[in-house]
Amino acid sequence: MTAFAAKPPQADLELVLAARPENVAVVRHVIGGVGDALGMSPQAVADLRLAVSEACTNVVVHAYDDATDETLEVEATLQGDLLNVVVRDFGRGILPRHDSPGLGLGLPLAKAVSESFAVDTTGAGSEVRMAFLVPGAG
Amino acid sequence: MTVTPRGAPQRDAPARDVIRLRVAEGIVGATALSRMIGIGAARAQLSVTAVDQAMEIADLIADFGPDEVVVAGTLIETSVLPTAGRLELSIGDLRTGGAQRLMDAGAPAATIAVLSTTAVAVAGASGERLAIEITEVGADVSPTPPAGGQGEVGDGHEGRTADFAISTAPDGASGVHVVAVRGEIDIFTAPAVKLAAREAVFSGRNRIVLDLTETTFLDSTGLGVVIGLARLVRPDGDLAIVNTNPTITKTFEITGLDDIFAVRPTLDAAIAALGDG
Repeated sequence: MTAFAAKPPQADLELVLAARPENVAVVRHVIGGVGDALGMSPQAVADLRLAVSEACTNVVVHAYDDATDETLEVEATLQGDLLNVVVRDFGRGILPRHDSPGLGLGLPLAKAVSESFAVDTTGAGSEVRMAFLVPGAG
Repeated sequence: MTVTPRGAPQRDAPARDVIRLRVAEGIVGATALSRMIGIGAARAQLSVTAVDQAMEIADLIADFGPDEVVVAGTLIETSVLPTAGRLELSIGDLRTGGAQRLMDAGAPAATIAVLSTTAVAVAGASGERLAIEITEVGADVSPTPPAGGQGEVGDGHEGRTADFAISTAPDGASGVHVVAVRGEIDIFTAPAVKLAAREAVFSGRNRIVLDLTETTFLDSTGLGVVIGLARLVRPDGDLAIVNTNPTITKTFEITGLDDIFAVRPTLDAAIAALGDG
């Protein structure tokens, strides 16, 4: 990304909270509310909830081993018929750690149930960017 | 339940416990706000009545048209601080007088107090914040993590992800041990499921049924528990799963785990899948 890149539209929703296990459910419930309000089907909302939960869980598990800033940020923006969701951390990023307690299934699952999926670790922390189809919104 | 006006700002609570949501005005924002307040109130272990009252705040905001209480074009920021028996809400930035309009709109005046009016550089307007504190009298103030083990756990601690409980009991006729989970299995609740199942195994049971009939969410953390449990009981014993939830079925299929475990629609079928041991 260059310094002159177009500024993305203001997010419709921004959620800022501590990257802790109990807070993943908060994100899941809020993002599920967004999906419901947009008229997404129950299965599509379930996919959205799962993918966003996985991305947030990844931040909780991987991003903040030894950092004091444990912020987890989630943004959601409707663009055309896509709901774009960004899950961001400011820690060491989501690269696998050698002592990972997980099985490495989380992000592949998120990828499998989202329309598009990308990880950006070029910034201070990392961003998982996902898109979900919202039929009829475009 | 009592609802009291909030006095001076709380300085003791660490900022990191605050959950902050900024939403654009409209149905999507209102729904998101409502869900956040709902889970915040649940985590604060408030009663259903108190949760309803807290969620009315979101409806109140949604009921206003653009520009009535909120500065047009800005995001509404609501911060929620759930602690045991108490939920603090702070809503802003509101137009001058916006906090009063919200109070007049239906929230009992005694329940809400305008905390402060601060000049905020948002579109040249000064912003108000509306601060609300809902306190539950007689609430269980022990912030207990989810526990596993014999019998029902989680009841009465509807805080974390709303309604979560594990029941674990032997099935009399078959000798199979059944671990049933109600609610959401994620990174926060999965350790309790793991503990409950392992306790059964370590007490000598190696044929386990994990009953997900009332499980409303299962992520990779939950899959990890399932896989770990299977490793623990095999090869002498085995694990079968009861599931009818299509979303959980899809998760098993994507990861290929439906080929590794017997997943059945009923408890009887899952027990049968384990054979006679």
